[in-house]
Amino acid sequence: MDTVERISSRQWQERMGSIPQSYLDQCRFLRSIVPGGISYLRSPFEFACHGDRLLNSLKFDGGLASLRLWSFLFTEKERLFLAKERGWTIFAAMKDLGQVPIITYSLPNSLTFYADEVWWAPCFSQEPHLLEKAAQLGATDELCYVRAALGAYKSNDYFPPPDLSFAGVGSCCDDFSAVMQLIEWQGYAIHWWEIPTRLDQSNTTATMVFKRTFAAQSPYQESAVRFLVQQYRGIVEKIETQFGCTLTETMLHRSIASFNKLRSQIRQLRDSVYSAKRPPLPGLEMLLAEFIAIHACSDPWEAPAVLDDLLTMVRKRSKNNESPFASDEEPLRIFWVTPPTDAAIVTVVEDRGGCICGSDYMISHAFLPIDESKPALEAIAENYMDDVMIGSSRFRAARIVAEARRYHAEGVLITGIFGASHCPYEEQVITKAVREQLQIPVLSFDVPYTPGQVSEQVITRIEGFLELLRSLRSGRNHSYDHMRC
Amino acid sequence: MRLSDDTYRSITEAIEEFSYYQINALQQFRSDGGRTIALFCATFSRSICAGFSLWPIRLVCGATEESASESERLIRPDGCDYCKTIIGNFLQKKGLHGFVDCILGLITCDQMRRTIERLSTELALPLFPVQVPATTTKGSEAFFLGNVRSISRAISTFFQTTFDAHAVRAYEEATIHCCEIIRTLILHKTLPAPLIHALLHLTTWTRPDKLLCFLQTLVSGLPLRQNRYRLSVIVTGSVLCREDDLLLNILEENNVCAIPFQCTGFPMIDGMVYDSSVTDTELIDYLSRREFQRSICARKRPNTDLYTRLQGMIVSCHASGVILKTLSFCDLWYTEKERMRQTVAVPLLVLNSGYGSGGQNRIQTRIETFLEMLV
Repeated sequence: MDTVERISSRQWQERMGSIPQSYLDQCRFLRSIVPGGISYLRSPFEFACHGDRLLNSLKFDGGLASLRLWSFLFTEKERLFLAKERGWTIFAAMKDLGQVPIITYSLPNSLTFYADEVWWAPCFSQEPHLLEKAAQLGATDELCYVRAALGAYKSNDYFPPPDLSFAGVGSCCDDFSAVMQLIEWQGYAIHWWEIPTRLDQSNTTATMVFKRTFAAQSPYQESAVRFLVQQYRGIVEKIETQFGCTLTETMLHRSIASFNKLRSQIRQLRDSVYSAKRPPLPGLEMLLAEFIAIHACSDPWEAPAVLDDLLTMVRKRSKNNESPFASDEEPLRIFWVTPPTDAAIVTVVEDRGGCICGSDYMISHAFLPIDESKPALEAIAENYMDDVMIGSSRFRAARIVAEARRYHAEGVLITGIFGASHCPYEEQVITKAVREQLQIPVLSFDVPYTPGQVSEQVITRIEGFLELLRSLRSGRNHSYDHMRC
Repeated sequence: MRLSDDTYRSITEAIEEFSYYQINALQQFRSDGGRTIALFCATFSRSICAGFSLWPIRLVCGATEESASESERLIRPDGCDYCKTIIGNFLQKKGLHGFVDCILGLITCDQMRRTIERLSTELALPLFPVQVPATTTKGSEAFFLGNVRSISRAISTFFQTTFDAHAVRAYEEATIHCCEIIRTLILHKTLPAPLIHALLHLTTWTRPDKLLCFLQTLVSGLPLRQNRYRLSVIVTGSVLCREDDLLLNILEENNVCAIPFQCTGFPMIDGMVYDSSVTDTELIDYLSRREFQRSICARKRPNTDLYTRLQGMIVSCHASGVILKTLSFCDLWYTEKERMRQTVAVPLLVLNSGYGSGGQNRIQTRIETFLEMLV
């Protein structure tokens, strides 16, 4: 039942009965709340019945560790509601995608989730009620799908009302800043904090002191980290005041260490999968795994076990030269930029001979190690300076070029979001950098909201793009410059 | 009683003539080796720029379909038209944009942050970046003040100029007097909104000492009248560029007093307190703090102050309605529409449009329908 292939939801369903009890017993969440934890490896139909109907049209990796990963992610809301019911503190983090949970998880008996992640819920559920609720409050369709978070706050369908929400603003997208303001308007307790901009070094910033980050050596102005430390201290103080506790340096460092472990697992996974000619794990599983890094999917105790399981499986497959992708032809190597709102697009790419050999899902700072030798808040702040979204598009483009080169991408796919404030400005910068420095094609399009089916136009463009990559690989050197894929 | 057509025309001509002379003065200033500095946001005291012998120009003009289209060489069409026209006008070196020697890149909303980045890569102009925090805490204010001090040092080093506090004070005092005159004209409803709009625009780029002389001459012939209009309406929302006056003209034609309440309107000139006892060394901090606290931008988090001041304005101006005029893809204002509808105590009309020339009749119909409802 632990197969190396891409399977349908029906096949997943069929193999549920043959999964050993011993394995099912490993897959239990929130053991710290419920003795023995709650079993979570479920059938895709169960998730579909709870609303995530898109699962019926996706393809999954057939490995048990992958099914465990899917189940872990799709039971997050259960964890949040259960924890809330048992009196735990529920925090919502918003926007920074990776930093605030490191602080909040220092508080015992608490869970933290990212409200932003609800952005793909309308696609997974294939129905727009979150978007409609958001629209009633003013967040209409000129905003990116992250507006679904407002609908989720109002509906309680995806998470219980948080005890406190931490909203990062400043150097962030306008869409979510606007949505967060509406969330506060609706009466939810928000602690605002400021995200500083990472400036590029130039002759007009010569009077500023610049340093480099511990992990990625990104240059940043020292004043930004100094300010960010104050902002994080504000978050700590808010928690301490509101919940009558003290978050010590030791507690913060313990949380950093636990997130560093997760981050290390994700890095190992990325390296193993993205560097392989025939990736041992498909793109959707990688997408899910990468997002675990930002907040441990509301269970920092179970998340490492899920990733360990996945890593073990990937290593075994790599050693045996096994891959869920067919062996007759090496799949076309695509570097993916910006997470696709509609996960089915990944399946479309893979069904047609592509594979994901690298990603920039706007969370890459959340994979990098945090310097444990520094004071905790300073270390978290410095790590945030590696976020590709808080500085220039040039910076992000350079990162994409470096990663695409590292993993030998044959093409870059940018799935934009209509209405997202960053997309109109950075798309051309990234495209130009990739074409000039890597001489490989770029396909960019905005993912439309087409519940129940992937847009025909999107499929046609992907097919054309893959055909182009195939012809380039085989030496039939068609010019791609004429084609703004 | 409304302003006669002749008076209206003569004031319009006077404004145009003053603008013409100021353009000449600007050209002369540059010919003599002076430099101009462009900025896009009001949250930086232009007096500080003057302290470095720079001629500050806040670019809230050039709002044309053509310049927006020009920007689409670099960015996609689904961006804010104000940001797009900034890029388009700089690429074409059109209007005031063509007189710019360096840019003070005030990093505000995401689109402006990215616009500034595109300018820094596409133009051979020095660009001095300053982040304006969205949050309003004392810590954020201190961060902003630190950023202003830092960039002031950078400007001083880059241009090898020393800070002249005397020049700052002179610029500041003249600016305050100008603002006070225009503020009175708005509150007394003395001039039609399109003319007020033109005067407000003059405050963003002309020399304040010259503007003061012009304004004093202008108002000396004007009686202070009130209630000449059948009703008053507050116009709030996104930045209102000089050319973007269709709404104001329609309201004026309908005998409705429009009170501009956005970063190019009344809030830009209101609350301009200046304490002359502030020492030279405290001057930059003092002015920066004032501007930071005065801002009513919708991007402030939280932006409750915007609503408090808007409500106050509705009451003090006896406004019968509010028009929220937003630019397409300006998320920060447009997303406030429902909240504003439920918060303000008077009817609200939401107009979301770009700088395209189409749809004028539709806008006119919508406004007139709204006004009928108010009456």
